[in-house]
Amino acid sequence: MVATPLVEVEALKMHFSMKSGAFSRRKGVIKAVDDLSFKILPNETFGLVGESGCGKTTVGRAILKAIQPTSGKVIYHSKDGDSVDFVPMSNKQIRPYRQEVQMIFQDPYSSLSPRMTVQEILEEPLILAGVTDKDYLYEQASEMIQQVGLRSSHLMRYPHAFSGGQRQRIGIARALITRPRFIVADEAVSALDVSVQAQVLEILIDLKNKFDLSFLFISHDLSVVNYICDRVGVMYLGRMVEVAPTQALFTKPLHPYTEALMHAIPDINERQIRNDILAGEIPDAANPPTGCAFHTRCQYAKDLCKSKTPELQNFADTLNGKEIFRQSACHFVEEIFHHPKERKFNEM
Amino acid sequence: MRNKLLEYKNVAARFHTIEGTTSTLNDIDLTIYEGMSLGIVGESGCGKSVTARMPIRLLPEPTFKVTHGEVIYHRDGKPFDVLKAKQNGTQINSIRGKEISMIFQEPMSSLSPIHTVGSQMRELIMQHSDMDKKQAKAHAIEVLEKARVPRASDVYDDYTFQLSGGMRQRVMIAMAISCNPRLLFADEPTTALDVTIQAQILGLIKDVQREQNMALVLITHDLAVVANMVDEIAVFYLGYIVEHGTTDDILKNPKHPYTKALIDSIPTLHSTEALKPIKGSIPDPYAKITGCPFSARCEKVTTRCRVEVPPFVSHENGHKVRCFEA
Repeated sequence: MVATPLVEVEALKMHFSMKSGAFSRRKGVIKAVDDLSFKILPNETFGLVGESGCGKTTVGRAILKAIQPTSGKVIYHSKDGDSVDFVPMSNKQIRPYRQEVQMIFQDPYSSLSPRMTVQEILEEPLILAGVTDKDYLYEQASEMIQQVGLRSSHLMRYPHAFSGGQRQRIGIARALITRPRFIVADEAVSALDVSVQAQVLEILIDLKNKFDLSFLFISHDLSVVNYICDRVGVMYLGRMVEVAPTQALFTKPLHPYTEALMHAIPDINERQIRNDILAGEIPDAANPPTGCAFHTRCQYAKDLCKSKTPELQNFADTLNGKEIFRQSACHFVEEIFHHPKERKFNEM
Repeated sequence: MRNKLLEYKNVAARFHTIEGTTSTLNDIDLTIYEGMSLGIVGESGCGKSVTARMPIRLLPEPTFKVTHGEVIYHRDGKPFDVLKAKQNGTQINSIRGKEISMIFQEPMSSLSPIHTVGSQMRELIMQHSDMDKKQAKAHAIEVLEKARVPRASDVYDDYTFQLSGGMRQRVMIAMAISCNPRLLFADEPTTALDVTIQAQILGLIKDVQREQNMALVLITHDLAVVANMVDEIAVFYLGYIVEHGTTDDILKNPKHPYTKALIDSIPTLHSTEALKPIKGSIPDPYAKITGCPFSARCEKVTTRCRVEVPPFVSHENGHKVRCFEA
């Protein structure tokens, strides 16, 4: 990989301590994110998938410092060419970079203030960045609202006058108005109807190319991730279990959890439910299983998996004749996946 | 010959609110037979949930008003119109929760947070049977086990907030099947769940349907969810059924432009082909729409579509489509 990454996350940890009090029975530490490392390249969409409670949202929030990570590094290579680590920075120190990194939220209903007009919502990030010229503000808001497929006349309205899909577009316009380089999109299309979801995905892809954006795209929906992401990281109980280019991941998963997740997705072309693959639910994060956290649900689990936590290892692979780089955290990668029989979901 | 269970005949319904009147359902013709499984698919506001709630009269009356048509429930060879019965009268009470039951989307807001799982299940069971408290408890634990709730007798004493989302949905399913219903409406039963849990819950609903030999109506916005669950699919758009046929016909040979567009806008794992989103969005529910409900977003729209509502026409194999161009 020659290109300089835009964002580098190194050994990120986010531990929440549970205090004992009159009403809580337990004490301890929840390792919501444990020792997570990955890179996001310029103009790349990096997907982060996993079940609820796996820590994917926490990663997004920790990168933007909406919460203070316990330890680790989040290195951002800024527009001016300097590299900064967000983790030790104070809110004041980080402010100049806020314009360059933005967020799109999941719920289009609760993430827009009902008491502000769309114009005020869109202008606010610029005002916070120090812009005072009213004409310029309006011009920017007006341009951005058109970029997401709405009209300037919509600027006067309040959020309640819009549908879920339109609100999500307003959320996107708000994130883009400061001309960021990196956007964290947390379940950005999960709350939308399928037809509207497709529209919003198209807008994101269009804007990514137009404004040369990088995304951290957090989602539980593998089909959406497959559609929009260049590379994908799969998380389970706070740890990364697999990272690979999207196409490689979906044609040949190298971790039993990824494989199981893919089998669980209902498919319009597949007339059979495969619910036999992944039994049980995600374990309690406060009391995770020993060894490989996935061994309690893994169909290939052996004794070693119960005692030793597997590290994320690098693998060389080829995809369409090109060398690619991928990672998997499974003790038995070689045995399980080295000679994978042609998997059913590749045949289509 | 299949036995009819529930029949919607030319039903039209409106909500009268301060903001105006909606045309929630228009000209709904639908028959549910014993033991069949039907998927109702459509986007928000298409009337799919209203269709499910109408037969057990769960809608706020008189804000909700049926303006035309009848809903016939067939019981012991004595069909009657549920819309003519009293909303909370004995006739409806004997059906609701017993013969027709329902699984809702959000298990947390549809289960009581201040009663244990056991006490709310017992209440339902004792309401609809002659069992005493002890028998009701035994029966409740039995159906919890049927819904694959692990440690059923412990969960019986738990409060719903102590359970995970998937487990709450299992409890909902257990409650819904506790009185051996003839018909189960599942209204977006897995939308709030993770994919892995979704697969488990869908598998469970399918198994339960087979074991209990009941009819299933699965309501969802996601065509992929119904694809492997049901025999027939009805596609709703703005209160109209725009297409109805066997699952194969709908998915492999869709005739209505909306159904086609809906299929094209679903991302799948097998293709990286560009999605073709449906242009525009669903109109405001209070807007007056003339002509075909889909005409504003349809690519094949003609002048006739904008004036006249297309009739619901039968094609081969009982495949019905509401489109002039099909």
